[in-house]
Amino acid sequence: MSFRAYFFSTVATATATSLLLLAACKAPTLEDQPTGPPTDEATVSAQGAALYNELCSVCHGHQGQGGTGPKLTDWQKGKDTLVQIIDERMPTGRPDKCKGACPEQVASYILSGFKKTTPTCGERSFSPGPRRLRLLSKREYRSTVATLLGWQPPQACPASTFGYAPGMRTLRSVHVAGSFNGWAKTVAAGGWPLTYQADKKLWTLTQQVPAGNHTYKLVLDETDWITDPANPNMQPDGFGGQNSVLNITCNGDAEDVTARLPQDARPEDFPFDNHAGVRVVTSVHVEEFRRTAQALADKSTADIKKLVPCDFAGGSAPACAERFVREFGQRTFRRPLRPEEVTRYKALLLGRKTFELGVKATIAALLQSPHFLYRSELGTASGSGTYRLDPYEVASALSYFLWGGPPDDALLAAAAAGQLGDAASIEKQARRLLQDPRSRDQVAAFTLYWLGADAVTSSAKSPTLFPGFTDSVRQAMTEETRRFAAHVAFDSTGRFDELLTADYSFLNDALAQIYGVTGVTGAQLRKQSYGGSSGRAGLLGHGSVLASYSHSDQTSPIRRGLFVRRRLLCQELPAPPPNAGGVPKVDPAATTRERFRQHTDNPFCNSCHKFIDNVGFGLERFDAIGALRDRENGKAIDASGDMNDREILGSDESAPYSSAAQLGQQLATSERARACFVRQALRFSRGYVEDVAADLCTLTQLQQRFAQSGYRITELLVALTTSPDFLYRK
Amino acid sequence: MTQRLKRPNLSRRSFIRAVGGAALALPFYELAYRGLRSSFADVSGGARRLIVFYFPDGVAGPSADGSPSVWDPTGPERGFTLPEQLEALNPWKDHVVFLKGLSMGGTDSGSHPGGAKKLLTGVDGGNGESIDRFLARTAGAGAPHRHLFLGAMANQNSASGDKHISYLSPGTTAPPEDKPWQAFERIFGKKPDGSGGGGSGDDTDASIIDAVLGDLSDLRGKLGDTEKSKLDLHLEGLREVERRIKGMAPMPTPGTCDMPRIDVAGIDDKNAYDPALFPKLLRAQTDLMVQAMACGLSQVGVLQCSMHTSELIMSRFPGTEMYDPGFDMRSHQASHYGPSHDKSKREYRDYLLQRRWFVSQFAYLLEQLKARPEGDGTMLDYSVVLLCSEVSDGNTHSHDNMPFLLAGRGGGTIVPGRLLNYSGRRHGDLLCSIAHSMGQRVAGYGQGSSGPLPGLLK
Repeated sequence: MSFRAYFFSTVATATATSLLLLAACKAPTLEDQPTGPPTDEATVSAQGAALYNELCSVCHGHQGQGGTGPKLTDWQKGKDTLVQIIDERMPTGRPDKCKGACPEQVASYILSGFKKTTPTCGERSFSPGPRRLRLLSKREYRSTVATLLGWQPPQACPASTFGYAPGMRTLRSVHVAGSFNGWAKTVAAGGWPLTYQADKKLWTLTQQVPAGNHTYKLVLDETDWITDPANPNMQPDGFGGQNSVLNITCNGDAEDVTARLPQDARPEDFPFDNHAGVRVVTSVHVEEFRRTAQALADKSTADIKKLVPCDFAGGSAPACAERFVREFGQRTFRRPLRPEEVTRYKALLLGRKTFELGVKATIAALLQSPHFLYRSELGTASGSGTYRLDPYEVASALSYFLWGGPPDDALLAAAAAGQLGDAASIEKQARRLLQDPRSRDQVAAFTLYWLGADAVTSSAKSPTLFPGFTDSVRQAMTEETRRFAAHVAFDSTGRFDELLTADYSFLNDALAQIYGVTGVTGAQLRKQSYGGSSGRAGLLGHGSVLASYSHSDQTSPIRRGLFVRRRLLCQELPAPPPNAGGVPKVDPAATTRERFRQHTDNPFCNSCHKFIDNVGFGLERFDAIGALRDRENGKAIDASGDMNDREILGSDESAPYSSAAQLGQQLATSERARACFVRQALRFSRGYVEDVAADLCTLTQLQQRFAQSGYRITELLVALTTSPDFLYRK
Repeated sequence: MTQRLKRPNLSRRSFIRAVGGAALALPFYELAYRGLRSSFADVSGGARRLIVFYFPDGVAGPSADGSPSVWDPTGPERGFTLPEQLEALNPWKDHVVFLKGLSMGGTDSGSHPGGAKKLLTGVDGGNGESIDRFLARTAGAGAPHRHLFLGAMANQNSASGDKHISYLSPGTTAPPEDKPWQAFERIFGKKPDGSGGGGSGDDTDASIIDAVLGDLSDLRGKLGDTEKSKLDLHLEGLREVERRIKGMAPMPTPGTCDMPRIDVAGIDDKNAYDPALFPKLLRAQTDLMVQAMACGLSQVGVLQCSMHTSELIMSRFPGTEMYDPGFDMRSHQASHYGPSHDKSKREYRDYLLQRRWFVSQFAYLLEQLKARPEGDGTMLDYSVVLLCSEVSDGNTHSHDNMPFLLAGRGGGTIVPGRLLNYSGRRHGDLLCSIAHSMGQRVAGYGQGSSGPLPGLLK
């Protein structure tokens, strides 16, 4: 049978068998202690398989048949030698990637004859992560202080809707002229045109109006100036008539309080901004946290009566100080304060010249405390070297995972009541959190980071070639991806495949123009169908992605190909060898594809580049800012590609496609892509890259639950919170 | 042999006189002068500071088709000739040691990230602490700011991980500060235009820090080994800030410390990644680095220009040799100039011009250091300045014959003005030599390092 059929039937068998195994034992509960994956031969070999497919198959073939590396199907030199070679020298160029238990596991799989085995995962077979203090990321910090200090973070200004019912009159045009567009007499001069909707017999326009106090009129046929009949607010226009009045208050330009904080560091293979290990507090951080906390404290004590719940005059000061420290401190530390902490901060408060100054100093100090800056995932000892997160830690873990922000009162109350210690109560809270709009923002952020599409904000583009690629466009592209992801997850099918196959996106007029989509007006993003003609579908058609993985003046099939491999398939390719050689002579008249011919013509380069270029070329219809094009340098574009070895590198499987939409389809139904999505979500939750061997059982269980749910994104998020991995550390 | 250094007058009054008696409230950085005791007796007469200057994507070295390196100077140990890439250093030949032959080892030697990881750590995969961090916490531990990591567009495109060359600990890099106006404020306590600054005026700042330190020490004590290095680093940072607040930082003898200023006119958060502003940004960061060190506020600093596989569009730099507003030529793009040294190819021509430009910016740094008196010489005499990139020939990604240069006299420990060949030795030995010149007599630095480079130091 074909490899693909074999692979799937094995997976199906494995799934059925392990389900059977799980069913045979008692139902898994979170209270059980973890032991890590079992050490029987079948599991070790399965771990070896996972590692082999991750690190070795690209050179040695998915069944050890060889490729750029020698074949391994008939190893005669004994296990010890094999283990030693792997440990010291493999994978080639990066032997540090396979150390510890890895060489033995891989050798075991190789020597078994590349036999697929089923790991005997039980309910305790997960490997808890290390006890950690997780520094708040900039995004989390922003969200946390907004909630804590009760003010709204910067919000985009809302759009305003204008409408006009013409009654019996037939009009050619209706436009808005006002203080925001220089009282433009005509549409050509900058008036904002309304569009006629015949079915409703109504002229309408939805438009983002900047913050401020505005006056305007509607202009009919560019001759009749009238006040807006739908707007009761008017004021004299100075000429004996009236203007309509529109006051927009929004703080879209409010200062970002985290602007001073250093960028969130992350290792190369971790896409998100919340890594639990490498994000550490350096002296630069300390100083900037200090300044930020000071500024926030100053700002929030502007209205002291609102902040302090008691009378602090004279003799009442000590009692009020204690109350403030306890209450505000609890909200800041996300748990009740310990006695020594209350003493410390009370002394700080009362030691200042006035109570107000004391409150200011206390807030500044609390916001610099490690108990605020770090989320605790330390847990309390629960036997055999394992620690279990306490209810307050679970509350924070839930809210920061699903909202990117602090726990609300309901979560804290659940923690205070001693709940959040079992799967049922955790799941209940998780589902409640997913009903809240904050989870939409979190899924949006997850998606942007997962894809690395946040780079569109700072990616340099040639102003001569792309004069229309303004900051406003970059912002719109970012917002498009965010809106789309949240819509798919919460409003539409909720399924993973829709992310890659959707025949629509969220566009405004500028984006529609770049994408070649007609019928979109206004600055506000709204759902718009592609109409199936551009070959564009889902995330792979987003400007945020296409522009992030291009150069300033040309596309980059290399970067786009690597993007698909790394971010969507969790596949890694070896580094180029030394003296890989330069690129061939650049012919400015050739298409990008032709210029990269050397990669395919030279068999030495092609051994790796076939996995990269063949994917990247398929996106060539979209230029360096994601705009549609049919020709490059006057030549027709060949946008065919091959999503080869999609499931395992080194399997020599071809999967040709001829449009980006087709590529999206192939990825949407790929087991590897689905498994990779699970891995990425696990990374996002935990804050570090998974280990395919140590986490084999955890990943298998999550992938099963994802599949059972019909690949629903929110169900995967729930599964992550009820995985024992969420609750235990060591 | 150690140099005898002249002791300048460090009283507050003389300082105020020197800066023209400006502002009633003393600038924050002046706290560095308070309660000062002369501490040069503590310094073993060696280098007082290290500055690392990094530029991305290597140099034109030997070509893939066999032509010899066009980076290496030619000629004898003294009286050598500089090639075109190093032309800006012709006036500086007597102040620089040109190094040939150093290797970073064979592992991962076909890649930029592999090189970036090894560059300042000396260890494959970046599994070590980089030399700048090591020296910051040893030789440089007494300074108010132990470590300055300033970048020029080094955080663009969400750069992270091995794009940054300074390793706090194995596998852990930290991003540089890309905004000079922000770094200026942090270091000097006020904005570049002179506004801002000033603390609480009483002991509130100190009390706040004490409360935070209390929480951290409790946590640290409770956790033992768990998250120890993370909390230790945090604690170190708090102590550093505490010292600054309480005016407790002792300092080495400073050089000239004028009213610090940098030129960031027209640059803000919104256009901070416009390539046309790169030269101005780099200049501001260089000036900031030198002035911070001139004021004795730091002894160890790294200036990182962009990052490996750089998308930086260098053809947009106004007033430079490679300027061309009609054509985008990026650093990494130019580095893959093809198999031969062919000046008829645009990539090769531009690559040479780009490298010349980076070297000229290094020359500017040396000029700034030399312009400031220190002891009985200049700041440059008491400094070690390292020029580096993460690969040697950019086209082949070689990690052999790395383009390291060392400038300054290291307080008398280095004899510059020589071309030295260290074929067969690992670059960790160079890092080891640098450590020695700053008084840290380590046995080696990084993998394959057997000690300092023979004949480099006195």
